[in-house]
Amino acid sequence: MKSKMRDDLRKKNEALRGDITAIVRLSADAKIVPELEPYRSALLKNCADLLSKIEKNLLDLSLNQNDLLPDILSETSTLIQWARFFKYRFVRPLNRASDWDRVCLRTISWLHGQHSDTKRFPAVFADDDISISPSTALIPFYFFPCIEQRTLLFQPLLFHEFGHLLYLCHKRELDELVGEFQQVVEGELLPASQRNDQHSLLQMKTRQSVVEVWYSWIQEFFCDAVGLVIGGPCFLNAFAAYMAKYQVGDYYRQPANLHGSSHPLSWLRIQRLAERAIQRGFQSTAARVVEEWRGIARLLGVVEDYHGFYIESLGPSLMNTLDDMLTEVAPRECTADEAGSDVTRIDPQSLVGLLNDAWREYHRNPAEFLTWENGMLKDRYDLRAT
Amino acid sequence: METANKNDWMVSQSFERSLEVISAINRVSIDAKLRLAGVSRGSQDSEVTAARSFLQGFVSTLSGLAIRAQESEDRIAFGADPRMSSLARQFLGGRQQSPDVVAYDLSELQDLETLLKSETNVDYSQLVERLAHLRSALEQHSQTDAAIIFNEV
Repeated sequence: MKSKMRDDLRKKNEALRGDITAIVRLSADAKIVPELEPYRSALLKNCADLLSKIEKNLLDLSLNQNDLLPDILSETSTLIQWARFFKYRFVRPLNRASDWDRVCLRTISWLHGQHSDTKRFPAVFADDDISISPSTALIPFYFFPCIEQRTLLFQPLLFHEFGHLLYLCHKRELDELVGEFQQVVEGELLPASQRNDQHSLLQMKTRQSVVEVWYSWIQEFFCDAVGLVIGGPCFLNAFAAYMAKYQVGDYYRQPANLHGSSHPLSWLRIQRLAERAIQRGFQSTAARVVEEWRGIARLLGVVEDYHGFYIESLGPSLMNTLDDMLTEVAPRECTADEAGSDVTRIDPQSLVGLLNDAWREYHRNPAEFLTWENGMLKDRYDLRAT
Repeated sequence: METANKNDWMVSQSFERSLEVISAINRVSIDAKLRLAGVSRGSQDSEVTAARSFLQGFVSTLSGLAIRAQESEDRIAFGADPRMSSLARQFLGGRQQSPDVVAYDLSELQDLETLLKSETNVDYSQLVERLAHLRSALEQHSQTDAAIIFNEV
């Protein structure tokens, strides 16, 4: 029985070796843009690490020690999961690479290069709705929708995703600040129950849920703030335009949908972001965005109600905590020239300057924007729209 | 950017963390069993040391969170992501423990931390036992993330 198990595990590990070797071959042979080369090297190194673990399993099996079988089984299981994860996530950007990848790749690569904690990470992304898997042990992996990849207007949304990577790089310190804020939430939002019965248990579960939701929510608010610091007005413009789905869900959710949610309500984020934008001197952008969102809320007939997950008195503590988090992480700040309207003062090499310029052009003359953008993509990225 | 899915930052972090920790447990456990069996593996000491140090850091963080949750009236581990909080609460037993969750006591976790810190006279039998138990708890916990990360066919 044990010998059959050992034989099965050996075959499975040999099959895994075949899978990883195939990933290596596919990745090495892929035709890619030069901006993806650092990613390819990092992926091949990670594949080498997996192969080394597989060889260790095979070596351990060869020792014929029955006691080791549960450990080798468990290790084989982790390798099966890694292999599957590598196949569906990490090979895709190489296997389906295109010249247009360089728009997002250059944004990500520029972002990583702006911070000492992230310089070592290669740039990579794949098609999907905007998000990031912010790994520091493996490779931080971004997702971006296929149409938005080919425009300048929504590039600033990558600044938000980069915030998640910065959070992970400073996790210990930021978790402490978040923990302190969660205690404020617990104290502000829900009174402690004095009873010792089913009702009390229910109240405790509710408090637990609200406080734990804030772990994710505050990270999203933090990433919004990072996006604004890095991008200035272009971030607020991109964020407000992308997030608006013109539905009640942008402004209101039933309590059941707030418990366990990963993101705060978009309207709450827009308001906090606009406050911060005003602080940074971007009054006109903030006013326009808030007015647009208010107008839609009026049409939808939405009544603001966060069901105890947020109350106005939390605002100052939230703002202070976010300020402390930004101080800890110190993202690269958008300069006044990059944010300003005098294009002659923008460094022609500045990505943030270009992205702010793009939004100014878009607002100035939407009908001519595509022509302007195509010119920029040709000059700056050597890309021709079809 | 709004709903938890396979690309969600918290799910992917929790998934990666579980696999890394389970792998470290396996490495340390295999080393301990080989020592008990008197089998020498020679050149793998540095990997075992690294796995042991990584594991020690994880166990220390987890027991710290469990203690913080225990001290809080609402059993909240402030400043911990909900997946880690939920794992930490699993070590508290009592009123929130569900019958289908692997029972693991906080004192066992603290014992494991001590065992991992020990440099001499390590009780390898106890270490193997504690590691296997922690691995069961983690494998059960990681199923939630794996169910999101991987599609069922």
